Amino acid sequence: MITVTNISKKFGKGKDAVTALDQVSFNVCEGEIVALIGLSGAGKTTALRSLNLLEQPDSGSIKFNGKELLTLGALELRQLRTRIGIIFQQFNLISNRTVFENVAFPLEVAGYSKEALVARVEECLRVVGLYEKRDVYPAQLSGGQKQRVAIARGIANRPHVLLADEPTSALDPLTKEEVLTCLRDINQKLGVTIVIATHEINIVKRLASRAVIFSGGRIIEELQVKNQKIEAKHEFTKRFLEVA
Amino acid sequence: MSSALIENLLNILPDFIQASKETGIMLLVGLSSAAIFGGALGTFLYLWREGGLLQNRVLYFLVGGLVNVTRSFPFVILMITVIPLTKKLAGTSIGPLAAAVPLSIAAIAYFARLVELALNEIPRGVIEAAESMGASVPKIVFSVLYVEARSPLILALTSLTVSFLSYTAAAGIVGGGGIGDLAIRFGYYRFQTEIMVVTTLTLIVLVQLIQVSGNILAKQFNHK
Repeated sequence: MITVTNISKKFGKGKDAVTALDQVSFNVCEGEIVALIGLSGAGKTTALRSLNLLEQPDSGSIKFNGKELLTLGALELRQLRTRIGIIFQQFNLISNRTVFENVAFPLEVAGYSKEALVARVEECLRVVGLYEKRDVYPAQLSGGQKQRVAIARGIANRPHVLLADEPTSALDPLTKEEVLTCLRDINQKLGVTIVIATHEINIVKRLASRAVIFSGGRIIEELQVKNQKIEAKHEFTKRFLEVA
Repeated sequence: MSSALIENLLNILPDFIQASKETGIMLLVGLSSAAIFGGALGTFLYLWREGGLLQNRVLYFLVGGLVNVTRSFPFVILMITVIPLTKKLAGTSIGPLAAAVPLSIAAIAYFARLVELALNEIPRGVIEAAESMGASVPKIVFSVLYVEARSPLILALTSLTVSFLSYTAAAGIVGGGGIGDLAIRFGYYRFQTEIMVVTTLTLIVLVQLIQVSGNILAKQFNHK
């Protein structure tokens, strides 16, 4: 579904340049939950954000259903982005819009008619279990509820894939659970493919079917998650799994 | 003594009403142009700046420089400098409408910076979220920027109104009229201290009213 080949990315120029991604290749298959894991600065977030070009790689190729992303024009890029959902560590909800209006935002962008918009927003709010909170403002919600609103917003326009950038890292253990369940539900019931960047190994074990391990801007190895266990081969990964 | 005072005040009532109208005209014209043109200018400055959605160093430097130059002028000098333009736009160089021209120019430049500042306070992540949903720049401006910054924008307009109430008094010097002009003509030149006091009190009450309503409105629209 998504094929990433040899993407590289540097931040800054000249001597101060930091290599965020160095010849990174991986792919995402239809219907799976794949986790990009690593420590801070390992490149997992940059790799995730490259998938909808929030970060533009300096070189390489990203193919989405066969279509090359790195050469898209501005309009094509905007159209593509309407079909890729994303959620963030800090939720990034619009604080002066109600829960309903936040979820409606991507549908307004996609040009939904009024009736279709209302029906779809209500449907998505039911999926994340927040229908009763539709007229409330984000400030009145808990962290877990805010992230669930963000998930509803992320899946509103029926995206092929949902990108999740550290979706549970700002939450306490109890609300982490709430978001975890919500993500698993939309994957299993709605068939939404999920790419998740996280440093929380427990999330990976419980949610993902595959883990891509990042360190220093490179991919160290790719592992299958079986029965909530990861069998690491590489020394670095073994240490990482022990401390994380 | 007190009946003489009341008589003085009654005598001046028609002038006072006329002056209030003139102040009203100057404020209304100045503030509407500030809200529309200053608002647009401030939005573009925000979009053009480094890392902005429409980053453009040349335009940011040129237009930002023009705004700074305008803001550097002492208001009285600005009024005199733009007299040729005033004559073209208002057909005359005296009266409240004429005074509204330099007032508008100063207000546009001032409000543009206030708008830029208010928009700068919006967390980058919220804008990024809108971008990543495929929203166009106009959609982001009207559905995210103005929505998230509406309370700071209301407060900016409030503080602009208060500043410009005192600018209208300065405009009186070159024949703009208004409450400030009244205070100078009767209160200062004719030594009618009571009129100076009354007009000043009126301005104080007006400023309080503007600030309090601005604060209430800003609070009403804020859900953070």
